[in-house]
Amino acid sequence: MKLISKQLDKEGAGSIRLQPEEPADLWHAYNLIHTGDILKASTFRRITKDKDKDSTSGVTGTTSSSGSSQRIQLTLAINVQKTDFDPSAGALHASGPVAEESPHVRLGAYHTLDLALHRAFTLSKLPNAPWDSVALQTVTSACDPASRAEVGAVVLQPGFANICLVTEHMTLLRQRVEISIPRKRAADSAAGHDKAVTRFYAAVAVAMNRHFDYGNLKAVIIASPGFTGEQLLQYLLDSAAKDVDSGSATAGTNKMLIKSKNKFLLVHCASGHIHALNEVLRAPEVLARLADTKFARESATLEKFFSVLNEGEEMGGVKAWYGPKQVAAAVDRGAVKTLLISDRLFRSDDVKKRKYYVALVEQVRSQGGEALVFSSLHESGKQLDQFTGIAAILNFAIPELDDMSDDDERDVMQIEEH
Amino acid sequence: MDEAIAQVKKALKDTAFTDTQIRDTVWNYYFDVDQSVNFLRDQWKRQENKKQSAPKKTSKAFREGLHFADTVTCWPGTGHCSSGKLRQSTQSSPSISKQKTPLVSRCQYGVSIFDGIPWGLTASMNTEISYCGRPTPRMGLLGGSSKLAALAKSRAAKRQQELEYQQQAHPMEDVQPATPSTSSAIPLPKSPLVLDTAVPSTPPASGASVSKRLTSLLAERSRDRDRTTSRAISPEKQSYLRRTGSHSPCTSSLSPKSDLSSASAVFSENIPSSFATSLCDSAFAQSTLSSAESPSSSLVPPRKDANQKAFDGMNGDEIWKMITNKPLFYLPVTEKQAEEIAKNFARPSPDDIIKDAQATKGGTASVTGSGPKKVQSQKGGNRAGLEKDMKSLSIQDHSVKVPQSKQKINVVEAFSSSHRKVHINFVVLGHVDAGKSTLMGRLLYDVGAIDARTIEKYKRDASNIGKGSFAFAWVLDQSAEERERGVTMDVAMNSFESSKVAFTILDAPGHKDFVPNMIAGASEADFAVLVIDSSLNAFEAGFTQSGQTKEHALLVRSLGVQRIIVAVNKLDNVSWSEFRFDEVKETLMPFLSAAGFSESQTSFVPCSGLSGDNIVNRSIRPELSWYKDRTLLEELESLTSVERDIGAPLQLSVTDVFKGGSSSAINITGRINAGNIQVGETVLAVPSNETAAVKSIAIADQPNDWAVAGDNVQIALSNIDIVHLRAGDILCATANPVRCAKTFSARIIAFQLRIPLIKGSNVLIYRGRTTEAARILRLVAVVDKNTGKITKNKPRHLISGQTAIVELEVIGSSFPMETFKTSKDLGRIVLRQDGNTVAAGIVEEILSVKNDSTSD
Repeated sequence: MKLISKQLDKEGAGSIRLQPEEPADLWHAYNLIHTGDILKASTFRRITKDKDKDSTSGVTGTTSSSGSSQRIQLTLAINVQKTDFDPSAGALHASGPVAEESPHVRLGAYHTLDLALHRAFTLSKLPNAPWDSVALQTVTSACDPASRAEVGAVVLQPGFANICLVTEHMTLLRQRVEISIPRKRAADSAAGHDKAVTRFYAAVAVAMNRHFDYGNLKAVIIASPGFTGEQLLQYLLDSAAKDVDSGSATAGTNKMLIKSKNKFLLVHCASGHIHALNEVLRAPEVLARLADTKFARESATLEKFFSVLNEGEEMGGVKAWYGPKQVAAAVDRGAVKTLLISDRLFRSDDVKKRKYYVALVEQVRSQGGEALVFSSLHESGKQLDQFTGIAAILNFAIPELDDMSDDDERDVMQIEEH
Repeated sequence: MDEAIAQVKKALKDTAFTDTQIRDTVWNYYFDVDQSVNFLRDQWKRQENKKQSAPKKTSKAFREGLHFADTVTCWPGTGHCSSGKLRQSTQSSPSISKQKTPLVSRCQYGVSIFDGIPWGLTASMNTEISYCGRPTPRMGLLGGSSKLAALAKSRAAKRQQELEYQQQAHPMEDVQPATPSTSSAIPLPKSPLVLDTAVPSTPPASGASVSKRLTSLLAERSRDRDRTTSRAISPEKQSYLRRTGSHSPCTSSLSPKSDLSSASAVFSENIPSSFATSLCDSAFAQSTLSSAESPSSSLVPPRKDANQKAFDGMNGDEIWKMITNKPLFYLPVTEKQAEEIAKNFARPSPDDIIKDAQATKGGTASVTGSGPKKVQSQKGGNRAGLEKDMKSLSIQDHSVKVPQSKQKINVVEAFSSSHRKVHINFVVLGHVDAGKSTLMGRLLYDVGAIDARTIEKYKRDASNIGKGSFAFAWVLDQSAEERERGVTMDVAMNSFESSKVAFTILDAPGHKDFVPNMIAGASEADFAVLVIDSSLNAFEAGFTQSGQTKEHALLVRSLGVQRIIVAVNKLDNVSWSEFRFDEVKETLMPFLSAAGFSESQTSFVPCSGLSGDNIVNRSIRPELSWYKDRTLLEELESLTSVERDIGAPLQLSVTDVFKGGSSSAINITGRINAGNIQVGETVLAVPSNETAAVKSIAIADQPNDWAVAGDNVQIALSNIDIVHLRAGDILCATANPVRCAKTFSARIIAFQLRIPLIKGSNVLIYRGRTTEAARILRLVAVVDKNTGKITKNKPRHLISGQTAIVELEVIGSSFPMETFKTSKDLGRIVLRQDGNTVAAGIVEEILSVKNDSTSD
C-alpha cells in the first residue's frame, strides 16, 4: 500500500489517500473501510444521456426510451453502506449512495465502487467515527514494505493437498488437489498404487507451478505427515530438471524453481487439511526463517494461549480467558498480558462496538500489555474467531471470571453475529 | 482323509466305532481330527450311558432330510441311487412298523434311503458335490432371521387354524395324544390327518396299530412308486417346485404344512405312493425335529400348541427310550441287518449337534457338552444367530419360505446353512519398531501361509540393503518405500487359516504419523494384538505419553475392541527374562484395565518374532521354560467371533477403491458392518448417493455369491463411475441409506490433551478410512464418567480425561454416520488434532444432515 496523502484533524477525522499495490492491500482496505465512511475513487458508470437534463438517475441498465447510454469513467464519492471482500479473487466492493456532487450522477444515487490494484482511493472518516489507533496502525503496517513477506505453502497427505499462499495478513487457498489413491496390496496391483501416487504428485506440482511465483516468494513450505512432503519435493525437482532439459513451455517456471531450491522448507505436520497450516506456521523451522512475520507470531501466540489455558488447572487458576465479558473484566483489573483480538471485531458495523474494542486495545497497551490483532484470514485468526474472537493471556489468575454466567455467551453471540 | 481317519482311530482305541462311523464324523468335521475325536468320545459316552442309539438315528435321518433339501437341484444324479435305497426302505419299513412306533420306522426309512451305496463316503460325496455345485436358489434350511421367524410364525398360525379345522372334521385325531411316540413323531396336523385318511377304517383306539398299518401301507405303495414323483414329494422339493412354479399336481397340493385337506385328497386319489414318500420324508424329519425340540418347543410357539398334549410331561429322552426300548426282533430283517441299521443310526452327524444345540437351548434334553460349540465353529460364527436359526429350524419353515425371486439368495439362510470356519479379524498394534510386521510375518511363515523360498528371497534382498532382520516384515510390508525405510506405513491385510479358524491380519503401522491408517485398520478388526518391545528402554519409550503403545491401546478400545492379546516381543533381547516379562505385564496391566480392558479379556504371551518362539510353536528353549501357557496362535484360536446382525440393512465401509486389472469394473474392498450383500444386488454409495450393482464378491480372495456382516470383502461394482467412490464411503441398502451428517452431537472422552478443547477447536474426525475436518460448535456439558450425570453445563473448555457432550460441525464435505444406538460401527468416532488423538466418542444424535447429498 502506498500512502499518498493524509489529512487528519486532532480528533482523527479526515481523509487518507491510499494506493493498493498488492492483493493483501485490498484486505487492509477492507479492514479500514467501515460503514458510514466516505470513499472516493475512480470508477465506471453507465450514463444515459437525456434530452432534457445533462445528468440522469442512471441506474445501470435503465431502460430509457430515448437518449443514448454510455459507459464513462468518473470519480465518485460514496457514503459506504456495505463492503464485500473476496480474498481468493482479490476483489473489494463498496456500495452506497453517492455523497458528492457529480456532473453525471445525482446525489443519493447508489453506486458500487470496485477498488482495484494500483488505483488510488481516498477514505474519509467523519468526526463521529474517526480514524482510531487500530485503523491507523493498519495503515502503517500496510504501508510497511518490509512486511510484504509472501510464502507459498503446501500441506499434503497422500491423496490430498492444499496449495496456499500465505501473506502477512492473508492465507489464500489457491488450489485443492484430491486424488484417490488405492491402497497397496500384494504384488499384482501394487502398480495401481504407485501410478496413482505419481499422478498425485504431478497434479500438485502443476498446481504449485501455476500459483507460485518462486522468484518472489520468501519461502515455499511443504508440510506433510510421513514422507509425502519429501517425496513431493523430490518429484518437483526431478520433473523440473527433466522439463528444463526438454525445453518445454513451462521451462521458465521450472528454471526458477530449481534456482529457488533453497527456499523450500520441509515441515512435518499431522494432516493435509488446511488447518494444519496453523501447526506448520509455528514449527521451529518456519519460525527460524519467518520469525518476524505476522502469521508466525499469531500462530505462536495462539499456541501459547492454549498451553496456558491447559496448564491452568494445575497452576492454581486459569491464566487464560476468552469471551468479551471475561476479557473486559480482566482488562479492568489490569491483568492482561497479551490480548488476542480478531480484526473481525473492528469491522463491526456498529460504531459503538468498534469504539469499544479499540478502547479495549488502547487500554491494554496503556497498561503495558501487548495487543495482537489477528487477521481473520489466517488459520489462527479463524480459530480465534471460533471462540468469540477475543481472548487474553493474563498475568495473574482471576478466579471470579469463572463465575461469570454463561448466559453472557448468548449476548456475546448476539454481539458477534449480526 | 484316510490319514485323518487313522488318527481318529488311534485316538479312539477304547471305543468301538466302525470305520464308516469314523469316516463320516471326520468328514463332518472337515477332517479335523481333534474335533472328530471329541465328538465320537461324546457319542461313546452317551451310548454307554443310554445303551441306546436312537437319537442318533433320528438325527441321521434328519440329516438325510437336509441333504434332500440340498441335493434337490442336482437330484437326477443322486436320485438314481436313492431310489435303490428307497426300495430297501420298503423292506424295512413294514417290519419296523411292528414296533408300533411309526417314528422309528420313519427314521429307519430315512436312513435306509442311502443304504444302497457305500454309505460314509459316497453318500457324503453325493451330498457334498451337490452342495457345492448347487446353482439355484438356496433352500435355506436353517434360516433364522427375525423376518423369517416372523414368516414362519404366521405360517404356523395359519397351520394352527387348519389344525383346529381338522380337529373338528376328524375327531379321531383325539386319539393321538394316547400314543405319545406317534404324536411326538408327528407334531404337525398333517400327520394325524394322514392317519385318518389313509386308514379310514382303522379303529381309532389304537394309535399304534394305526401307525403300523399306515406305514406298511405306505411302504407297499412306495415300492412301485414313480421315482420322479417321489422326488417331487419330499417336502423340500415341494417347496422348491412351488417356488419355481412347476405344477406337478401332487407337489402343488401336497405341501404338508398348510394344505392339509388337499393333501388328504391327494392321498385318496391316485398318487398314494408319492404321498407316502412325502409323509415318510417329512414325518421322519419332523419327528426328529420335534423330538429334539420337544423340550424347547416353546421356541416355536404355534407348534408347541400342536405338540403340547403329546409331549405332556415328557422330554426327548423319555420318548426316545419309549421308542427304542421296543424289541428289535420284530424286524423281519435279519439280526445283522438290524445291527447295521442301528449302527448307521449310531453314527454321529451334524444333526446330532443341531439337536443337541436345540436341546441345550431348551435346557432339558441330553446334551453333549461340546455340541453347540461345534455347531458354532462349523457355521462360522454368530452363536446367537445360530441359535435363533435353530429355533426356526424346521421343515415347515423351510418350505414356507418362498417369498423371494429365484435369483435372490436369502443370505441369512445361506449363511446359517453354510459351513464356514470361525472368522477372526485382528489388528496388530504397538509402538513403532515393536516388531509388529516381523511378528506377523513369522506367524504367517510358521503356519505355512508363506513358503520358505519366499522368505529366503526376502532374507537375501533385505540383507542386500542392510536390513537383514526385516525379512519377515517384508511379508507384510509390500511396498518398496516401506521396505526401504523399514517402516510400515499403511495397513497390510493378510489372511490365513489354521485348522479351526480363518484369520484376517490387519498389520497396522506403529509410526505416529500413520495413526490414521492404524485407526482404519483397527476399525476393521474385532480383536487386537498389542506388540510390546520388551528390550530395555524400548518398552519404556513406547509407553510414554508420546509413545504409541498407549495411544493405540486407547484407540483400539474406543473403537470397540474388547479383547486384547499382548505379545511381549523381542524377549530374546533380554535373554528370555521372566522378570522382564512380569515387569512389562505389571506396568501395562493397570493401564490396560484403566483403558477398559478387563483382566479376563487380556492375555500376555512372551515371544520373539525374530526367533519364532511361542508364536506358532511352543518354545523349547530352557530359558523360556517358565512359561507354560498358550502360544500366540493358541491364544488367537481361543477367540470367539463377535456376534453381528446379519439380517440388518446393509452397511459396508469402503476401505479402498481401485480399478480392476483388465476389466472396466470398479473394485472396492471393505468391511461389512451390518447386514449382508449378494451378487446382483443394487447398493447405494454414500455420500455420493449413486447406486451401483454388485458384480461379484470375494471373501479372502475366494469368490462367493454373498457375504455377511463381519466379512472383509472385495467387491466388483458396475453401473457407477469411480469418481463417486472414495475410500471411507459407505455402501448401504438403497432402502436404508446412511445419513450424512453436517452437525451432530457426540459424547466424547478427552485423552491426554496438549491444549484444551474449546469451542471452535478444529479437529479431524476419523472413522475407519473416513476423515473429515470438523470444528467443535458447542461444549454442551461435562458429564461424570461413571454415572453419566451432567456435572457442569456449558464448560468453557475441556481438559484431559473429561467426558463431555459436544456438538460438532463437519467442515467441507459431509460425513456418513449413524448414531451409536443404530450402528455400533458407524457411530464411533475418533477426534484428532495436530497429530494427536484428543478424544474418542460415540455419536449421540445427528442434528443436521448435509443438504446437497450429491457431492461429487
